[in-house]
Amino acid sequence: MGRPAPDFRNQVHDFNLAIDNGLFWTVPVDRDSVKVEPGSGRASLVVNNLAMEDYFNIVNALNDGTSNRATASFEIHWAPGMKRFKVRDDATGMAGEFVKNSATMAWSVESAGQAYLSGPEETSSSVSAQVGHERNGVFFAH
Amino acid sequence: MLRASPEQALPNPIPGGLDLLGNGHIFHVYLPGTAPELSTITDFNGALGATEVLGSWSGGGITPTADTPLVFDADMRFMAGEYIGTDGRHHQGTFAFV
Repeated sequence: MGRPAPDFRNQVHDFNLAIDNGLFWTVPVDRDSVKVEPGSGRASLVVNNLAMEDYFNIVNALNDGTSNRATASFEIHWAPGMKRFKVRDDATGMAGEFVKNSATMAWSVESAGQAYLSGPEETSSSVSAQVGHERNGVFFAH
Repeated sequence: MLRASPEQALPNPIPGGLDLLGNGHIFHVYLPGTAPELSTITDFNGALGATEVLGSWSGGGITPTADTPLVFDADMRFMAGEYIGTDGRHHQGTFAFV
């Protein structure tokens, strides 16, 4: 049996990007932040000192409500996987080839004079994880 | 290979998404299990990684009770490759959904 899902009614912190760049919680990062082997599914995302906000709960975050400034560093590792799958979705206009795998994560955050730290990366576990190659929009038809 | 930077045109968001607040406002994102599309940027051709990770955390002066650990739930993704920016031009870039 896996870890119980979080109860959002008891949520006390919600760290998200605050910038309004026209994308939803998506920012450019350094090219070297991502290492990926789409064929095996092995990948990593490592980001340091990313400016974020603590919105305390996700509803407040989605409403861009009151928040505290925060700085986050994190690393995520996707392990190689064995289950490969292709997807083509005309409804959203995307297609791709992916490897279903697992991932772990460690992070640290500083906000409002407080430090927050995840448990060791190996104690985390993924509910879902996939790595692969995707094309959408104008590239979907090709 | 160019890196997406503040000086480089950003991608456009995916056209669809979810009404997460139930008020008609569409957030340009799909959650795992709601649609195959996990990219948040459109006109994109490249590598994508996505995961929902659960784990424990500590800090902030919060002391959890013995039988109730502090749990985090993170939806994390990356997109790295070719995209067409808001300027209509082809670019190479790396993006994180956090």
